[in-house]
Amino acid sequence: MKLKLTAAILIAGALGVAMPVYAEDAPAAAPKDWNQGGGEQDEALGLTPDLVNGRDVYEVCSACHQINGWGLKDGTFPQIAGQHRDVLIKQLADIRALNRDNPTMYPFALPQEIGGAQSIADVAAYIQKLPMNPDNGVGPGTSLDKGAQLYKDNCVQCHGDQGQGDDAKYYPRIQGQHYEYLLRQYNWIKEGKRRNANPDMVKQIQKFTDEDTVAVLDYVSRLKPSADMIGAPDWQNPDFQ
Amino acid sequence: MKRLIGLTFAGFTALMASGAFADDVADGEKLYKTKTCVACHGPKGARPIQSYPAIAGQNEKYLQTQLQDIKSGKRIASKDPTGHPYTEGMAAVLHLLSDKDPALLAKYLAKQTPAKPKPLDPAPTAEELAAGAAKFKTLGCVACHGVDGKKTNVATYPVIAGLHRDYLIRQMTDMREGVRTNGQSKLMLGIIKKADDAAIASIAAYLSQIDRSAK
Repeated sequence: MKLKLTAAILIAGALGVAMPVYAEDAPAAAPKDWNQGGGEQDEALGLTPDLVNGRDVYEVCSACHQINGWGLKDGTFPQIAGQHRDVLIKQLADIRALNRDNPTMYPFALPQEIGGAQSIADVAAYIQKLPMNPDNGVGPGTSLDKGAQLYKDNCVQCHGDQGQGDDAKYYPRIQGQHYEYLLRQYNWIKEGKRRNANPDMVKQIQKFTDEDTVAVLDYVSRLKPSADMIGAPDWQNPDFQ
Repeated sequence: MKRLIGLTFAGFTALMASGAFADDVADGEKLYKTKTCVACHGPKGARPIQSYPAIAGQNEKYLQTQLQDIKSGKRIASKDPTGHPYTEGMAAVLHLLSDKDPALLAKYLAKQTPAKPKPLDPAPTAEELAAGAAKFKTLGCVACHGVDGKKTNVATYPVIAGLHRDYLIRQMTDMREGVRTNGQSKLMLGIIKKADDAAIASIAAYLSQIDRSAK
């Protein structure tokens, strides 16, 4: 059966036709090349960042992600402050290369708005250094024990015991992220709408029920970054005063 | 005496009303800056990125309706080069507005000085602009959008002078193709269906270069 399926995929691929989904737990559109690198991503990763220009580039971003990079508590815009540099570079390069759909952000990711690979490197370094939101949006708080267990069994290996992620592997920091944003991205990754996620994760979360999802993401939203990374509640980015 | 009191009272309420209006404009400005509008439409609605519309000095009622319609999904658009409707990026953030916010934003934006036209590259020749102007007249656009598209006869219609050429092309085409049907757009169908792509491009180039930034 597996052989037959592989053959079918190969043939369909060769003919360029849309593949029906066979397995019940397969996502709607399997992400491929989730981290193919190349192009601007590789270029930006190798450049020495200029934080002064990073600040200037960030001005555009601040309209939505806010001057602090803390996003909005309702999850409309994610917190990006303190995110790993390589993760930021990958996501920005992906949005601009249309590997990740984001109609609201896309125009601002274009070179004519923010500049080339150097600007990506600059702004990523700038954002990474911003102190993080001490008061992010969290979930309902109704099934945190279950969430903790699910997290331990499924997520720790990549996202780390505190949701700190792994810069070198492009695994994002998810600690302190707004719950509603986590929920939206998670669902889009599950459904295949967000196409640039690690396929292992896509596969892994197919078996999660809606209750599991709420439990684990609620737990994640309450994981705190280390104290030295968190800003004071009244902190306002002095670069934009 | 009674009359005097009456007049004073009228004057007082008028004063109150103008005070309230000033507050509305200030509230609208705050919304404009904090609800991400400024990111795409630029400072004071007059320096949009890409081919998004300049909204400074647009008719208040028209602005309010469009905000509500994009939020509710009544106004939709053809797809951008990435495969998403042009209105999608904006629709995705409009839940940030409360029900009373569109009216405040519209009040603020209507008060702003219109944008200067974006120069076209290559610049259109005088003949090309004249051809666009002639088509604008013969099609009958003038009847609703006014001379040079600068002043509408009804407040619910948009001022179209000085908007980005590509934006104008998209709107005319979307209305002709029945993609954009919100508000008063349908009233335009009978007219715009007489325009082929070349006529639409010609009118758009002409209108995009009309300057209403100087009062």
